[in-house]
Amino acid sequence: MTRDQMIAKLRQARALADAVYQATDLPQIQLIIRHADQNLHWALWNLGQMDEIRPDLPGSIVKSGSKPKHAASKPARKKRK
Amino acid sequence: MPAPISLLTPRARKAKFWNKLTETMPRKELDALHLHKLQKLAAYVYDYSPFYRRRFDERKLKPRHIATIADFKRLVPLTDKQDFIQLQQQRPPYGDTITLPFEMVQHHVETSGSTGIPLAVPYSAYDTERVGESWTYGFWAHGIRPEDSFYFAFNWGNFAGFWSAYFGARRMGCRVISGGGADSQGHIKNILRLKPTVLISTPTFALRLAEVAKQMSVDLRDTSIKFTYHAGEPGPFALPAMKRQIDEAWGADSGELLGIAEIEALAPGCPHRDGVHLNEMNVFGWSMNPETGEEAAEGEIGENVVTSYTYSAQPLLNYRSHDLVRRTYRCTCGRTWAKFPGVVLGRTDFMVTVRGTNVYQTAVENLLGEMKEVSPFYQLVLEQIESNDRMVVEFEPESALAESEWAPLAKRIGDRIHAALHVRLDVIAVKPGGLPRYDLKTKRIIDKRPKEFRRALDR
Repeated sequence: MTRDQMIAKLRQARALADAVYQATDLPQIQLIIRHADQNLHWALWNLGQMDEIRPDLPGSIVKSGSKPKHAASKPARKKRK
Repeated sequence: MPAPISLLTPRARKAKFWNKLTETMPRKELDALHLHKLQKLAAYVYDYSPFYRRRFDERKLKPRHIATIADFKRLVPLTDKQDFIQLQQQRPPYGDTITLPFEMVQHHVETSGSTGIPLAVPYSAYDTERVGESWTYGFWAHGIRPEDSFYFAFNWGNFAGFWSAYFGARRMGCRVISGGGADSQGHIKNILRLKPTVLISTPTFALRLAEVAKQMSVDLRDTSIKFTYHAGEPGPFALPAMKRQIDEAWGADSGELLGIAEIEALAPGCPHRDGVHLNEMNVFGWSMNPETGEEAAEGEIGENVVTSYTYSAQPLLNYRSHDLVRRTYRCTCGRTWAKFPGVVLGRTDFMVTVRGTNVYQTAVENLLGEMKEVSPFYQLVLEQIESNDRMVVEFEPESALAESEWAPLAKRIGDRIHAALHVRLDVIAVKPGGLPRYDLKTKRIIDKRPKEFRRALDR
């Protein structure tokens, strides 16, 4: 699996966890998911992908289809005509 | 047979690096990542910290003005421990230095107070997850693995001390044994009984335990300890003589991490055991000439100015550590993270200029440590006489040395310092056992200079 693929999977996991967090009113489940999400955020961080300083800030959970914007991502080259 | 239960896959277990991707990240990519994090951090503190919003507004600075790393260094105001202590004293425990709601502060620690009043440090739950990571980078590079077990010669009070090392040991999945509440003999007995493989302590306390073990007729080289790892004061990677003393006493490999309680456990040891690497995933740092405020070039001694990305409950941006380091970006270990050979070379507040020569604490300590007749117990006394700084070296000779040899030894030390550092210091032998002993941070510097010649926090 490439780094970009790992990032995409982790983002997907965060989005899935967030859906459960939003859907439940059980404080236990909400706090367990928060803890899991911190670790997913930290895994992304240590793959060189940082969307926000903390996982609970607005904009931290990026849609799983978004392209990674870590520093190693190279812009697509323009095709020569 | 069911599949074996294991923390790591066999391939991961063989990895040379804790995270090769980040530890060997090319400088260009690291810098791009730093800029992105610095911009996000600036926006975060501007939005959530009354202290930083005020500081930014005073300068008409908006987070969007930070377009380059150079902008961050130049535009974001320098901060210092005193700023935060004053705010905390105005409205305890954290004042408006805090960025998160109180319910999100899950752990409270404090600095040691060795330079004055302790600074309160709030951790969010996420901060506790992240602050241990630097230790884990260092543990892995040192050869420590999940099957190892840690003995903490630490009292688990409010002092930040080795809490972060505990978080790091947990991250790696190691067994943790608390030495809380034990005296020195109790630590030795616990180690014999519980058979840990890693000792965590201040370096001088590891030597103190060696002294006590000797009195108990225990040879520490025969114990289960394979590694020792230290922080809190100049240790084995700063002082080669101390490395030799600890390694010989324990029959183990000593390691060192540079941490600043209020900032981060920021720089784990290099596997070459001659310095530390700044954890550039958690921290951004640059070197500043403390006299001019200009950036010091690579290889020059400068003050380490640090920004932590991971202390999100009380962020510190462009924080003056007052630690003097020689920053380099080249190391044959393969890490691209900035390296500080010799770790911290001195302190801006404890650097003395004797007859025009800057004298660094570790330089004197290294020379003392090289002399076999000198015990590990010594202190450097700073005084001021007729507007001139003066440093007096007080040391305990090894107990086997006859008293008639003390004065000639003191003269030889003085000559050696003169030859190496080009400065004459007064050197005085003190009766063995005459200098104070410490369980945590050993006080090596006794500053007797008038208050007005010291930083406010040291008065």
